Amino acid sequence: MENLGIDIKLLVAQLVNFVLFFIIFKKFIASPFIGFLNKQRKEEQERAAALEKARTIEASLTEKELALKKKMAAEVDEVMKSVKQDAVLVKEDIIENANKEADEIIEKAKKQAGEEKVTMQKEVKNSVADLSVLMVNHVLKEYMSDKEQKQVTARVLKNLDKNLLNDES
Amino acid sequence: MRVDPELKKDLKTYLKKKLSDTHRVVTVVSTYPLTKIELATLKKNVPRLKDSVIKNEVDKDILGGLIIRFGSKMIDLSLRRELQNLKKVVYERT
Repeated sequence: MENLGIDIKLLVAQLVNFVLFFIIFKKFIASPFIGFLNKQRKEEQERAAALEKARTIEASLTEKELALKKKMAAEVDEVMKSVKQDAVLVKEDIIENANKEADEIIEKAKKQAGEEKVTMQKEVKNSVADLSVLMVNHVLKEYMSDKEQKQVTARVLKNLDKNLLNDES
Repeated sequence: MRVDPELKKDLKTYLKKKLSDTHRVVTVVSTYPLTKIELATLKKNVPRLKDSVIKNEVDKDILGGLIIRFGSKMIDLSLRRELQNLKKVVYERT
């Protein structure tokens, strides 16, 4: 062996060194490193799971948002429709009220005109009556003769109620 | 204020007499002075006037007929009154 240049002692020492190195490496370097790698892998898996979960939640939220938007749009449409209907009703109501008020005003004006007409007619009739009585008064005063005066007195005396003064007193 | 009873009695007597005189005097208003015949007819037709003193007043504005006044009362039998009644009727009918 020595002729082959192989030193048994050195070989054994190297072998022991290697074994020692292997044991030390395995115990103090490889195990923590593998543990660290495992931990990293696990964390990576957890992150991936969380990401997946987040994506799922995001998709769900997006779906919900879309549904909500659709629902809101439908509600807005419905509200607008309702508002339009209300507006039409209010408009019709306003027009109806305005027409009613106009009719009332016209009716009132007609009534007032009628009343004024009646009042004026009454006033004219009263004026005619006043004038007629005034004329008769004037004519009687100016043109009644003494004879006629006496005839009136005679008629009054003739028709005089005998109990007239007794009743009065 | 106390009033003397004698004075009170005199005042009462005076007022009674005056009231009696007032009731006895009857004023007849006409458009011309009434004749004695007309006054007699008036007295004849109204027995209450027999004991009264008739005072005749002339007022052309009554137009015709008579107005008899005694005390605070008045009986209007004039044409003016008739015209006023006519006016009322015309007013009521319009």
